[in-house]
Amino acid sequence: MRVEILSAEGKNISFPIPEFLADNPISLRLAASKISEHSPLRFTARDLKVILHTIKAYKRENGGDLLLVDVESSSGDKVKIWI
Amino acid sequence: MAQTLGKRISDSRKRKGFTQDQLAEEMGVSSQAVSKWENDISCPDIGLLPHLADFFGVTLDELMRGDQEKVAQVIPESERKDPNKMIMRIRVLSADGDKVNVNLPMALVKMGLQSGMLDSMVGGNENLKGIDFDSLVHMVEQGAIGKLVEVESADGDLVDITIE
Repeated sequence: MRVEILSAEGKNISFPIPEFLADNPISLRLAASKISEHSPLRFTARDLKVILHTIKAYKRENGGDLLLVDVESSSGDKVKIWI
Repeated sequence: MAQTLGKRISDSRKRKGFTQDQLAEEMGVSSQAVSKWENDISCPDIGLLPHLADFFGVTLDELMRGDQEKVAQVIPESERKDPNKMIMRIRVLSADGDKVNVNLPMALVKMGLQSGMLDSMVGGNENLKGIDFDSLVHMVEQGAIGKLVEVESADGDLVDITIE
């Protein structure tokens, strides 16, 4: 998984997250809690695990990285999540 | 970045579920030639373009200009790809200029519908709440691809959903 944040002011951050770090109970619980805290979406750690595994199965069959989310704000900030 | 002819050929071929070898055989060229087209190293001969367009079920203009993803169409059963290998592209352009693109594998959409998780996935966006994803999945299973949903809200937000 790779998260890229490109700010309108030119500050770019890209950080890879190894799969073993993303796909473990602690990370999934933390991610579920942060998603609930910062967005109207409601996922449990188990939901996120199922989602992650479904995406990994898709990648295995289709090859290559999947650009899951690509957001560009009106102020020019961009966030991309590759899996 | 604008999509190239090579990328359109590659996407159209994969959408039909053909390998480069199979497309090469259909067009009467070598598989290396197809590989060069798809990598934008060379272009198909001008005489081949109408055959390519016919083969992909698009007009010559769509093949050259890249508008085929906007055309909703039903693929014959014999040419359909496994729906689980397809992707649902949800694009939201808000009136205040925010752009959100979400690319969900169809397998994930189906799993989300079955488990009730899809509401959580799209529940954050008011514009997506009224969309009947069950019917969309059913349409895809019946061979529908392309832009299946295009909505403009009273607030000026644009939502479209394309299946590839």
